[in-house]
Amino acid sequence: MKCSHCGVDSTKKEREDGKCKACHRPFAFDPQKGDTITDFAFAAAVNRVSMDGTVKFLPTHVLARLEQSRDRARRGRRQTSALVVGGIALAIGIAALVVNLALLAVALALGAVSVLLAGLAALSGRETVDERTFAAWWQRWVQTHGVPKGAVVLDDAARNRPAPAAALAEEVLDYSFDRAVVCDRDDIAELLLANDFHFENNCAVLSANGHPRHAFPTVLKMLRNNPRIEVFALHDCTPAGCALAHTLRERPEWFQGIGSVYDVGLRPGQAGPWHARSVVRTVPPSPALTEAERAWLSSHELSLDVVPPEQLIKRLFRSMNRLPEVADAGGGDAGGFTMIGTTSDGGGDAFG
Amino acid sequence: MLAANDYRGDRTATAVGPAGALGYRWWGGRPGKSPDLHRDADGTWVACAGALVPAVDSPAAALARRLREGDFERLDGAFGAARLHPDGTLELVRDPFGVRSLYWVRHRGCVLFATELKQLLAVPDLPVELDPAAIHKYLTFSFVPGAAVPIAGIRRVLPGEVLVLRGDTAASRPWFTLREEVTPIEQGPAAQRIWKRGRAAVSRRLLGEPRVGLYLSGGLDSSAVGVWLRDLGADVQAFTLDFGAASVEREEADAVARHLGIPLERVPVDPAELGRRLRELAWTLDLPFGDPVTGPHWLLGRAARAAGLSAVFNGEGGDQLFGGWTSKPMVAASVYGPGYGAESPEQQYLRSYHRFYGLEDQLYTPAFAARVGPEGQRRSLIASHLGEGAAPTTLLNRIRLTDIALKGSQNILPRAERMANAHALDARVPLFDRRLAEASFTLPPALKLHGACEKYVLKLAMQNRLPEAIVWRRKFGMSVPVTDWLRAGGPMDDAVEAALGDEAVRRRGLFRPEYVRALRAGHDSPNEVRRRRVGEKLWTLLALETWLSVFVDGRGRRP
Repeated sequence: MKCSHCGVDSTKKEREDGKCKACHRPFAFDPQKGDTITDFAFAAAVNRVSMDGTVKFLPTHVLARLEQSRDRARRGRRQTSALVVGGIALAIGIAALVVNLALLAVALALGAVSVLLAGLAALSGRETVDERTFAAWWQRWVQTHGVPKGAVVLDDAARNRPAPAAALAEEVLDYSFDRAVVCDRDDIAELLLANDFHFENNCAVLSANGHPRHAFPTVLKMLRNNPRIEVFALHDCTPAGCALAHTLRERPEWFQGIGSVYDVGLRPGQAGPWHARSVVRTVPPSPALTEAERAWLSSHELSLDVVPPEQLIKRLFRSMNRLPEVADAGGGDAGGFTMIGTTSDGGGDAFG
Repeated sequence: MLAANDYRGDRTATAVGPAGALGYRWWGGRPGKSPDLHRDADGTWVACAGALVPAVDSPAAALARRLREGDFERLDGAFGAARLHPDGTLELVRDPFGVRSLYWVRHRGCVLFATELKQLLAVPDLPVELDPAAIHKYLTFSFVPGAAVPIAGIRRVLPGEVLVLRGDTAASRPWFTLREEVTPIEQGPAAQRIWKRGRAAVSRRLLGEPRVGLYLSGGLDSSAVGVWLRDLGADVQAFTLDFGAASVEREEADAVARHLGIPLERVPVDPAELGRRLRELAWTLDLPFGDPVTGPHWLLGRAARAAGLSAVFNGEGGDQLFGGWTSKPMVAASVYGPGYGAESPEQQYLRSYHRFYGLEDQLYTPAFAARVGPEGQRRSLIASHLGEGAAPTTLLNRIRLTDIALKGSQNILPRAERMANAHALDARVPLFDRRLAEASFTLPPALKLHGACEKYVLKLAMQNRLPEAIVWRRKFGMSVPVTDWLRAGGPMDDAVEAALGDEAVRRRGLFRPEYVRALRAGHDSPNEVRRRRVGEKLWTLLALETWLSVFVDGRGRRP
């Protein structure tokens, strides 16, 4: 089993003490002891979502990445099997033409098996990791190796940051933002802030639930200072998420009559590239949902976590920099989660 | 030393005595320039490069009096001056916002000083060695901040400062400090105040030339200067940059010129030409400047000179006084507080330059990293403006003052002056007028950033004087298509390969070739979403390497 720190392979005997034989760092997992994950695989998922420690990420990004990796691995194995069986079938088929036509039946049978395997690979359900299992993995990883660099964890410290100083809080009420991103999840808002999205884009970041608590009241007041505020709703593909833009547009405590609201979240129409999670629920009619969306959401949902954080930031930036306003989902097409070419975001200093 | 900047004038004067020597070069017949060195009644000699505002017949004589009497009331202009006492005491003084520069170095028991670095390097046996700490700072800011310059031992007088050199001692004191003195005022009167001060600032800079140039971008600031020039009856020829399909504010520049009734010449920007002229540009700039707008500025100057002009106005300063790119991100960072990314306002500010702050481990070779000096050097440059204990009580004014002290005084102004003077043009920068700047800091900050509207009071002043679309549209900013210029196979490919190819990078020994290679392949930090940042980073490195080849390898000799 490879060590996630130094890459050296240790046999079962060599790691009886639970440590790498070369660098002596402990392993968090050991398949020989019943774990269905290795340190190497976990570290690889962390490195991928964090882009080698340069992008902040949520633990759920690691979960999504592990599921995608396992899914790809399983499909790959089935496809390989299909190819092998298909190759044998072809060889026997050619031999049948030369040696004995009776072999053709064998070739055809093997060919059918090959097609079946390929079909299973294409249609097989998603490889999932139970959330509780992942939580236990994460805990064990943190205990063994520490919190991975760049992990954004919405703990008590994150939820209880000190409010801005009174003088600053009073001064900034004269100012505003050009844009705001409102998320249906606290942790997505925290992720964007941790990646400095607010700083890089002159953009407020809030969650619909009032996160971050220490800044929420001040920021919301500031946003309402700008009659031309552009608000972007970023959400999971869930009934509540898909209703977010509508809520922001219609509720007086949000942006009713102020500025413009755009939906840049995940909607059923954009879920195609990913494996949605199956659910069973009743979704009541809503002005925020088309009938087709309601039907899809009755049996599916999809989390933003399927999009790696670096991609999420880039897609959000590109969506926010388009020019024309996009109608709410209740009225038709939503802009949502598409790759749109950027317009200028402003140049540097100088030249008046 | 005087021969080293012969493009700065057609007349020279020198004075040599037992205590020291002075030299001066100027354009004869230009209004507002000292006609010679000045011998004061108290026996001191004064040399003054540049001009005062309002203009006087002899800035050297005027400064002699002011320095003698310690009177700096309303002193303004674009100048660097030296006053040499009979006992060998030397005073060096710079204008309030750093338009002109002054460098000095101790060498063989003497103090050498000059308005340009290349003049000091013309001294044959002056040691020329890199100052890694200054380069480290340049790589964060894209210009060289503070008193240190990238040649070890050479120091720079700071803007608004008098440096007194006596024997082995050097003591500096500020003669000008912008202060926040906010007094309540309503929008209307505030707009009128800015209108009057801006108009007066332009008026003080019109020195009787039959015609003046205006660099007109189509943005608010240069348009405002155009409004004031026309209101004063000046005959104006405007120039604007043309990046072809990549132009951003071309239509706006056209609209403003039509509105003001002034002719507008479009100056095409050919990146291939700029690539051929890189060494020449670096030599003229005198210090490394990592903003790709310098080359286009040079082209503007060439066009203005070809049009027979001797003075050009620009709109530099509007962002620093009234708005600017940094205000909103810094407000956002302050509201959300530390714990997200950088820990302090100083670190947030350093990051806002989007060069190599935080990327040192990826860019620097270990040998270079070991020589850049201790932690905290860059933060210390801005702590007095932005940190705890900074004088302004409001966040916005702290940010404005920091921008003026760093971006304005050590980047935008000196490079604009040098690019204009490369073509024997006087650069007139009315938005960096002292009285206008002082007025801006009496205004409540909410008149600068009003909701999300930057430069609010300037917009109010220009309302009904410029098309509404120009005044009230969201700031777009001029954008040099530098990433396209520097891409592999692009118009500057040869220049980039010569300066930043693996061999060149290894030879210089400052940067890791693999990082530079990745940058050239378009790979920026994974969470960087703006394509132009790759080009800006590359240009910063390109400008530095070019400068090093001219000033260190070539000792500042004209390429």
